Amino acid sequence: MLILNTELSLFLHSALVIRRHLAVIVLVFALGACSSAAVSIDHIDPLPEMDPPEFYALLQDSERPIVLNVWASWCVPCRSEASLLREAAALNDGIMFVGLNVQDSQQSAREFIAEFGLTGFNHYFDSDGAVSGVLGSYGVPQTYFYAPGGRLVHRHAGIIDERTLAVYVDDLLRLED
Amino acid sequence: MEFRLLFAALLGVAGAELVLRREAGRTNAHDATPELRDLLLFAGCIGLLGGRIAAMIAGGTNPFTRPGDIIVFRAGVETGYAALFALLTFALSARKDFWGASDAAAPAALGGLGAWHLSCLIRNSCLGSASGLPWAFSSGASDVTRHPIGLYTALLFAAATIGLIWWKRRRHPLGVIGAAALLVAGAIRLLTEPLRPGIGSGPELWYGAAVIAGAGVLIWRLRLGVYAVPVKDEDTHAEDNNAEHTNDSGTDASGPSTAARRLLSRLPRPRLPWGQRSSNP
Repeated sequence: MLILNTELSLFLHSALVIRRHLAVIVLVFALGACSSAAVSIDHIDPLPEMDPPEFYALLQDSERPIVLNVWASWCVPCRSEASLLREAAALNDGIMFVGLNVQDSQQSAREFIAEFGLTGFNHYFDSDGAVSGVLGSYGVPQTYFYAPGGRLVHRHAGIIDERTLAVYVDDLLRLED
Repeated sequence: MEFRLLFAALLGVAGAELVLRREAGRTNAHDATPELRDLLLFAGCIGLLGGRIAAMIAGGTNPFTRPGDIIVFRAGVETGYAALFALLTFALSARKDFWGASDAAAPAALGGLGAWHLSCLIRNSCLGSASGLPWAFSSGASDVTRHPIGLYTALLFAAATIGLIWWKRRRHPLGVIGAAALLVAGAIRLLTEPLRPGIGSGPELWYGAAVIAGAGVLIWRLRLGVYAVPVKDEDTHAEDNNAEHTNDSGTDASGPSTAARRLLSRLPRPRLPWGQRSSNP
C-alpha cells in the first residue's frame, strides 16, 4: 500500500512538472502566432533575370563590397537566416547586399521577400541555376563575401550564424578602409 | 550535411559529463551522477528549444506555421531566453532540493559551457574583434587578424569551473555554488562580449541580469548561512547496514519494512541525493 501511494505521488509529481513545462512551451508558441508578413507583396517588383556575364560585371564594377546570398523560397534554412541578413543589410550601408534566387518561381520569391522584409537587398532571379553553377554553389543557402572589384574574401556554405556574419562583414568593411 | 554544430553540442555534454564524473564521490554522492546528468540534459534541451523558438519569433517566423524550422538550431538560438528556460526547467525539476541540486550541478554546467566555447575550433567561429596581438589570427582570404575570443571564453569558463570545485570542496552555505556559477557565467559573457562583433543589439542585458541575479542570491545565501554538510559514502552505507540490521524482524515502528525500503530505493526519488544535506551551524 505504501509502495502504491509512493508510486502515485511520484506520478503526480512528474505530471505536475510536465504540465508546467508544457504550459511554458504553449505560451511561447502562442506568442509566436502574433508574427506576420513584414512587407506587402504588392510593393515587391518581379525579380530581374541574371546570367553569368551580368553577374561578373556586377562584381567587377562594384565600388562597394558585396555580400551575395544564394537562396530559394522552398529552402527551410534560407528562411531561418533571412531575418539576420535583413538586419545586417539594414545596418551596413557601405556594403551591397545581393540576393540570388535560384530554381524558384517569381511568385514564391516575391512572397518570401515580402514575408521577411528583404527590401534592403538587390535581388536577382536565376531560374535555371546558371549563375550559382558558375559560382560552384551546390545547394542553398550559400553566402559569398566579395571585396570591391570582385575578389572573393569569404564563402560560407549552409546557414550563417550571427557571429560569423558579423566577422565576415567586419572584414569587408576593413578592406574598404 | 553539416554536423559541426552537433559535434560542438556533444563536446559541451562531454565537458559537463567529465566534471560530473570527476566530482562523483568527492563533492557529489556517487549515485547522484545519473540524476544530475538527466537534470542538466533535460534543462539544456528545454533551454535550447525555448531559445530557438524565441529566436524564430524575434526573426519574424511563426512557429505554428513553420514548426519544421524549430529544429534548425543552426539558424540561431536566443542565448538569454535559452538560459532562462534552462534555469526555470532546472528549478521546476529539482524544486524541493533546488539549492543542493544547483550546487551539485553548477561546476558541471560551467564545464559544459567551457567545452561548448572550445568547440569554436570545430565550428570555425573562434574569431572576435580585430587585433594586432601576436596570437591573433585571420580566416579565409582576409588578412585582418582577430582575437580568438572563443578560446578566451573557454579558458575563462575552465578557470571558473576549477574555482567552483575548489570552493565546493570546502564548507560553504547551501546554494552559494549555484549562485556563484550564475554570477560568473554572466560576468564571463559580459566581459568577452565587447570583443565579439555582432549584428544589432547584443545580449548584454541578459548577461547583466545574470550577474545581478547571481550576486543577489549569493549574498542572500551567504547571509542566510544554511550550510551544506557533505554526505560521505561510508556514512550512507553505514546507515543502510544499520537499517538492515535493525529491521531483521521485517517491521519497524518508524518506517517501512526492509523489503519495502529496498523496493522504494529502486523507484525514482522526488528528493534527489546530491550528496549534501542542510544544517544550521
